[in-house]
Amino acid sequence: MNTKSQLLCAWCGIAFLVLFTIGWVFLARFLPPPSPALSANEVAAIYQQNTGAIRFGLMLAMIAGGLTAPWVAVIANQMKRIEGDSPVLTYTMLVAGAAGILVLVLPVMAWTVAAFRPDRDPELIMLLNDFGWIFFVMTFSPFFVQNMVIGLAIFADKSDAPVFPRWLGYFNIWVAILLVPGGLITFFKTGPFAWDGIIAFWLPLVIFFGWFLVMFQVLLKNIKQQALAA
Amino acid sequence: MIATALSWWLGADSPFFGENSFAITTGLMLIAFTKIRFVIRYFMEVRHAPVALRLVCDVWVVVICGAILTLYGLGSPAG
Amino acid sequence: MSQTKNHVPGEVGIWVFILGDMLVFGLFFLVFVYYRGLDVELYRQSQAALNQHYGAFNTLLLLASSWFVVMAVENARAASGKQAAKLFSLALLCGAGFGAVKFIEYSEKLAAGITITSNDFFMYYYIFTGLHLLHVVIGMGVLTFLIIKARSPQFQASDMVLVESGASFWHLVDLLWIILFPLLYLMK
Repeated sequence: MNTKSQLLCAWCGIAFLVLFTIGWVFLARFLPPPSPALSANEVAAIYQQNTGAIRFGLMLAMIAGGLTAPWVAVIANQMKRIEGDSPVLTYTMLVAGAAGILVLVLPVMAWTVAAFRPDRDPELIMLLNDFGWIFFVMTFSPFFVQNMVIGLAIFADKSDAPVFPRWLGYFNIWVAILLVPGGLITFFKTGPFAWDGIIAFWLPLVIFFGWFLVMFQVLLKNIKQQALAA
Repeated sequence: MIATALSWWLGADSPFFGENSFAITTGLMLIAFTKIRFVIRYFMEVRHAPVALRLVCDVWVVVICGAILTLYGLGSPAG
Repeated sequence: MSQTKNHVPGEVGIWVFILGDMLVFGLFFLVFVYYRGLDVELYRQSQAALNQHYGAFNTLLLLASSWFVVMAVENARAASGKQAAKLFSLALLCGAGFGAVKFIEYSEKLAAGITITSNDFFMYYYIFTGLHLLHVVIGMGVLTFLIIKARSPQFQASDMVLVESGASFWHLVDLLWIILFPLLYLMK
């Protein structure tokens, strides 16, 4: 039994949270997000005033993104215990999770490009800033699929000793649905559905981070049980 | 039980046309949340559920109703 | 309905979803009332364009459907699956009626040139009622599943957990509309 590797992978999820928070929240100070209603000059000023911290913070956030790969893998590994030889939902989760890494890394790179030459034309900085934020907040589809198939796999578990508790299935589907309002940011520059709005941004963000913590608890329990059973 | 539900329902549905919009809105919300508590307790059978679930539901009703009325009161011009 | 105390209706997991949904819709309601407070006149004028009768009729439809579901659950408990299936079908019909009314209502609004981008009020109107309609559609799927379950000759007491879970979800659909209706259509 590869208990140690599994534990390492699970802890990578927590490491992602910590590193991303340090880089993206505390150094780059991207929380709260800049309003989509800001003018080009106001956006450029953000990158001009805080250039060094943004560059370094985003570098940490980029590193954090990669840590979700082992995290996704350990979830897949547990899901495969449910599905056995024909693990289609597990594969779906892996593919969606892999795409999810890009959703975390690409916006970070767009913001990095903006911070690379902060004195270029403010319009161009705004373009990169828009690209980063829209990519980051709007791209719910891989995460939606990821959470949905985790939920479906849990519901499909008919064994007497299910791998995951059933409430976790409902939880994952609930999370999946709550990530959807991010898709609305394309229509709005202010209000709750804008990329800094309570429903399109804050709610999915809190829930996405909370999802890591909930999954982490259950994964640890599962891995320990597996180790005992072996 | 059903009759009560219906009367509550119709009470809310018949449009009031009064002058005092604050009283009307407050009344509408109180009726709505009373109905909600009824649906939760009797239809969803939460009244037989463990204390924790009953409590969470009641807290939700009180907090959301209270917050809606507070925000409404803050944002609404008098009258 | 002679239930013992401390009986969680349906499986515990469904309540994670129901309470989670109640939490989020609660937040939606508060967001709406907060932003309404910033521009009351606009919201009052826009609200006047809504047809209260559609909203009220839909409220009645959902109440009726909820009541059918309650009776269906009682019948299922008394092991009369056939009767339960009939009552669930009536509830499903009410749900379909709700959808039809919403369809008419949306097409009237769209024909009048009122869309999601018209103003803030209609943005909330379309998004909130749209999300709720999504719940209605999911709920109709759940009801269909319950009808099939209740009709099958192998229907047994252990299926009650499924029946109660599905029923609780349908009541949630009703419950959310009970607030959405006064909030969007009636609030002065």
